[in-house]
Amino acid sequence: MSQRGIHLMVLIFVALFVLLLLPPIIMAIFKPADLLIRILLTIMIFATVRNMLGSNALTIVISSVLVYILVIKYAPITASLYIFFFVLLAYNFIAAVMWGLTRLPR
Amino acid sequence: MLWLTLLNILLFWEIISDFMLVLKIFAIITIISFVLNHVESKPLAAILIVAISWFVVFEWWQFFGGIYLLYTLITLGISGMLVDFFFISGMAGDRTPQQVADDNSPVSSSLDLAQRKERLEAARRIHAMKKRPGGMMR
Repeated sequence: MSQRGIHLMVLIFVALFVLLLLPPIIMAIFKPADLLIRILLTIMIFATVRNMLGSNALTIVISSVLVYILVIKYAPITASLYIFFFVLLAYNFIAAVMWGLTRLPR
Repeated sequence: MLWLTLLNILLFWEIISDFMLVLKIFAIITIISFVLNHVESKPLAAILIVAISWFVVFEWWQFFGGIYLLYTLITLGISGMLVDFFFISGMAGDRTPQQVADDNSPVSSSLDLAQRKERLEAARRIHAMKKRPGGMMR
């Protein structure tokens, strides 16, 4: 790989790392965003579990455990992964970021 | 300072073990969902769920944990991101963005057209020279 390719690889890594860091930073600065993301995560977890198991008591028990670990205990990590995988990757925004980095003047 | 470092390492392992537990819960949910969707009989489904969960999550987790994580990441579209990443970074040759922009821009004048033809001809000559066994030009 050429020097420019390696330089671009590093740039892409840095950009993805910044994208991963953004949600926890926003959550730390704006408290309403923190609350909103926690509510979104809770709804997403409950919907995912209910979709797989149906509406019963087991769904509520498993959702509670997952919500405690993912939303209450490790909210910044979960928010970061959620935004990265379910929002940016699902809507292919990462490809746009990578393409944009190739157009940067050096 | 040493105790702080040790505490950080312990916290790191705590995070890893917690996320491992979450992964195991999701694996069990996936197994339950898969079996309930494919087996009509409830007692048989219950037996299958217990057997597969025991085998996958408790007995062979070192093997199936990695596979399940990979399956989840592929489901989420990580392969597309990897293709983009290696395609784009591999495509970045030694041409500068100015050269790329010049080639992509519309032809502005006859001089511009002549220069482009000259560049194309030079590139063809170099390509032909590389393809010839001796590497000599005629």
